[in-house]
Amino acid sequence: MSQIMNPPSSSRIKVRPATEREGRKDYITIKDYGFWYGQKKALDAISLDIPERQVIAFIGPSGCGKSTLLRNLNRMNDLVDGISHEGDITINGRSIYDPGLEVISLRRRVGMVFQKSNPFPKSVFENVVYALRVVGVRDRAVLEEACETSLRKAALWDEVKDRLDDSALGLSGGQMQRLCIARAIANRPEILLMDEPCSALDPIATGKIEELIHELKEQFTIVIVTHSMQQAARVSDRTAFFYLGKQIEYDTTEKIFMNPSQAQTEAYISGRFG
Amino acid sequence: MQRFFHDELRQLRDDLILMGERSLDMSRLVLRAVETGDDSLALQVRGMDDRVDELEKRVDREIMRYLTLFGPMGSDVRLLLAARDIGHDLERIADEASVIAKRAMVISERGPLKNLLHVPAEGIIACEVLRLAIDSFIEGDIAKARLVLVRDAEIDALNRKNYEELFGKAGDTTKVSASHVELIFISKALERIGDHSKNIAEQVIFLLSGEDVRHAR
Repeated sequence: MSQIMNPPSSSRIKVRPATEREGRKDYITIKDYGFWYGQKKALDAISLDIPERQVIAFIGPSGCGKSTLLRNLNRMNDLVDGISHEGDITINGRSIYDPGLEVISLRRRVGMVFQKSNPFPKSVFENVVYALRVVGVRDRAVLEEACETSLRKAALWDEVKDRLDDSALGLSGGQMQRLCIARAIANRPEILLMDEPCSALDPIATGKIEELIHELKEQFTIVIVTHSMQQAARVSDRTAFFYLGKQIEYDTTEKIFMNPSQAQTEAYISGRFG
Repeated sequence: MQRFFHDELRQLRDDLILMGERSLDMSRLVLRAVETGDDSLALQVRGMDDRVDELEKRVDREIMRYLTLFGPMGSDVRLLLAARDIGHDLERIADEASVIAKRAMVISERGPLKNLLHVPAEGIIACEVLRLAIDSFIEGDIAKARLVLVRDAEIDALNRKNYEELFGKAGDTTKVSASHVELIFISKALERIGDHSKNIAEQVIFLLSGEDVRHAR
């Protein structure tokens, strides 16, 4: 009964509102951006500014281009044959297509968490420090410190600290997804891209990931693609709605879900689409 | 599991308590204005109304935001529904206090009234009942909320008594002074404060138990 009258306050870190978190308002800029898979235009004239240390949700029906745009933010789509683009994407003022920019270093700055958790068939410890080993870190103390820090940030440390040498494949689905977040964090990125990170998780594991996203935005800029409008509403500061490769509306999440400007957005969020 | 957005319910609850305290302050202050004929108190009350209006709008915005963004369930839904009604009743109480202040100033302008009928007693009970309703919300005390439903009848009885003593059972208005007519309106406004307190208590019962006791005979 007292729970009803006195909602308990969060015991974890106090996350400041988006309006109070300092940082560039145009940390990521997407300008007149178009993208083709061969002859098929997947994105058309996308323009939006993503502020630093906020959570941005991309929503829209299947095939709207939200995952394509997400994967272009760290040039993951470079691996696909026949792609081309127009316009530009900049991060902290520098184009991601700058010929002097190494794609590897871009992906180190822009980490990614996928829909299906993809731990390597290695121990929990080795999963977290994998990227550090790839760049040549050998000092055991440095690796252990990075492992603990990353697992703590991913809210997983308490659950796995006694089984760091066990196989990561023995973790639960929710734990595996948080392990993948820890692995991405260990690389010290500035931006985290999340492609439907909770779609394969139960409500409790989903809640944990959402809590984690809420806390991580104190340090990272997070872009999340989600099919769940409820999730976008819960976790994001700003939301972009896409349809058939076009950006229909981009605004604060409160505005998008309470009083969108575009009829198509209203139809989509109220379930009247199609 | 405690979720980050549950903190927003705490803010909503705090704003409702603040509205309650303001409305109660206004009610107590305006009662003193009626009893003493002190216009400065009445003016003070009228100046406090805008703040309660603003709080009501803030509470409504918070409720709409929570409903839209966080998919509430169970007791959270009841809290949001009850909060909307409680906020509205508290705003109406502040309005009634403001109306009483206006009528007290009209009486004061015409000269002090020696016979205030049972209005001071009615006002004291109205403030007690409002305090009880607010406490029932703050403390989550269903017994206090149920007591409000009972005590509201005391205010109704004094309001009726004021009317009957002034106009007589037949309702003769020819021998009644204009200031006493104002006093009857004040009595009616106090009775309305009692009604709004009762509404708040009904919402607290709904919030705590899920039971809808409105319109019960």
